[in-house]
Amino acid sequence: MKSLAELQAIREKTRLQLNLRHESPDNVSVKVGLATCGIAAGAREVICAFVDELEKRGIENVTVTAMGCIDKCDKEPIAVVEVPGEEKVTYVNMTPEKAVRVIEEHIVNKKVVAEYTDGAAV
Amino acid sequence: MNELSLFVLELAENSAEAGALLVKAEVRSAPESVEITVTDDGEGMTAEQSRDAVNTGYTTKSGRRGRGLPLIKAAAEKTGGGLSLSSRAGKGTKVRVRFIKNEYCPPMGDINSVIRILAICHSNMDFRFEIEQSGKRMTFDTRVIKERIAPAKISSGGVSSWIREYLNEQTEFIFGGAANEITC
Repeated sequence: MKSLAELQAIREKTRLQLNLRHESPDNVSVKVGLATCGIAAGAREVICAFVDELEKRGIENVTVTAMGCIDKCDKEPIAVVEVPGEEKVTYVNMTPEKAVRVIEEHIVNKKVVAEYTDGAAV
Repeated sequence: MNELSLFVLELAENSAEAGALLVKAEVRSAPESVEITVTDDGEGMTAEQSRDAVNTGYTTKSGRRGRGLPLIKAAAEKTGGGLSLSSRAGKGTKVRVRFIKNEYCPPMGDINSVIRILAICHSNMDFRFEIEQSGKRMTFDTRVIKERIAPAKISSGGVSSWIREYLNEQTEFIFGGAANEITC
């Protein structure tokens, strides 16, 4: 059984990582639409894919948050990725598979996945 | 959107949009019915706004708060249950939805993922979940977790995987199976 005591061990481990993070404040933001339209289109699975993949890769400088409806309901699930110093990128019609690729190419390799962006030729 | 767990997510997101800092969600499964109650300390609504929220989907200029309520109400009424909302401006909102267990009742769906993403994506808010089925009960409270991991964040990798495993164990104990296989 998982115990709350384990959390204390995780805290100790994370404390070391926190110190490292202070030296690299490049916090990337991923916002996923979680209004009715986003939820109905499958945003839960997309967020889970983002969170799980970041966890798997041990990436700690990315914050995943929820955002409201941005009036593009027919393009949900939508994920907005913002890398400090760069223009924010809106990815549309997201899936868990696409989320994994966005992490790999955009967040890790710093290359926007143009074909998933809003306005990209289908 | 035909899962009870997605209704919980929708209700909790409404609370987040209303500026809530603490959201309490209860899912109580009895032999004949399932009841979902979500209580928040958000900005609340006036009587008129509450009526609109339930009947037509209340919209504010900053967002689309409450748009999902008519949808949830319809799903509950289809089973013979219903939705009730009580709210006070400046105090908070409480939504109670009752589903009768029959062929029209949506499955529970992946409630664990819902709990986890709420805790991680709204790390500035707190959530208390209580799930009960045939006498078995689990609780999950982000305040308890945050207290133990500070100054680490609830979204950090080690914590988020602990949450996933913890929730899987708990729901397996309660429902006797994987969360996404839970039927109503």
